[in-house]
Amino acid sequence: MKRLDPQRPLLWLASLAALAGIYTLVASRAARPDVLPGAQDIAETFTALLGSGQPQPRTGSTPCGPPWTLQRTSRDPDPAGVSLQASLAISTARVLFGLLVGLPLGTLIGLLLAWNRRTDDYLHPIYVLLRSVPPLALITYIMLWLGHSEAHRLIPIVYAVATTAVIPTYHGVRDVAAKYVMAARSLGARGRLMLTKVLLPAASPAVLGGLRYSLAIAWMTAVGAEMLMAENGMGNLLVGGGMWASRLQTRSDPAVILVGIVALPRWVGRWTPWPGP
Amino acid sequence: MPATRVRRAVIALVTLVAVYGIAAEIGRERLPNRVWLGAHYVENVQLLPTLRSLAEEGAFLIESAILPAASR
Repeated sequence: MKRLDPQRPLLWLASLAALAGIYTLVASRAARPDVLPGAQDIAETFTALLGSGQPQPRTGSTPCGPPWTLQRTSRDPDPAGVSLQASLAISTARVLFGLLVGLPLGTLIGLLLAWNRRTDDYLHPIYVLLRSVPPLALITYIMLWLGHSEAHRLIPIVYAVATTAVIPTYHGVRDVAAKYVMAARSLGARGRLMLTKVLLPAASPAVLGGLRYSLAIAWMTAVGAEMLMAENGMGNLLVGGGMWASRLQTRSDPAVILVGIVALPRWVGRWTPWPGP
Repeated sequence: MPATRVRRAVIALVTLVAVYGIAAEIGRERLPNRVWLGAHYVENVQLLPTLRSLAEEGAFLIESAILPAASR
């Protein structure tokens, strides 16, 4: 078990607090709340989004942004009723689905490639070819094949998680010390026994390290897919706050901050006993 | 050993292209060419473009300088 220096969490918190302080200072100096809203504005919008979802328009001394951001037309989707927690729950569900399906798939592919040299020689180039395709580029094809449905949000996440999970598993199994393998072989272990009793336990730290990395990739892909093609979720909230409505009416800033906060498990993962990727 | 790995990689990629080509030729006759996206539909869609049509599209993208411009 890795020992955690008790001062490190304090240092991390201090760095986050310093970042917030610097932002507040810059925002107050810039005096452009349409571009850099103050911390109080963000907190108010955060509270409003937690409630009904639609923060009240601000009036008074707030300087206006560019004129084209101030007008809403009747064609604009009304984001009223969209709450931060509902969007977060939807995005989290998508990420969890991606992990649930993509992780076993990626781990299996990684095991398959690492287990047999011949399979690795044949399939690795195809894996590299597929891995190079950005997950969000699949959305068009999935829409053509499966129509406008939940599939074109979920499949890119599954694909991103699976392709990410392959590499740590592959290297975890390949890097198992030869002495373990030789000792097991000399004791008669073969096939399934070798896999379940030697290779998988020895490779599990790398696989779990890959899980942390996959979580971050899944989250980024989910938000990206929702920004492009979704009617709900955190990504949709970000686009809605930035594009469809005036920044003085609906703000995406709390959503941006929350997207960052939710990605913290990767940072918290530093405290876990297994190594990172 | 590297020669064996290269040979196997080439075999795998050629097999992939061949399998795709066969699937695309079969799909040309059987797959729908009208795709519904909600209330709208798109006509003349190739869900699995044949190798010939991929080559034509690739040549067009190169000749029209769209691909070089996009990769810059």
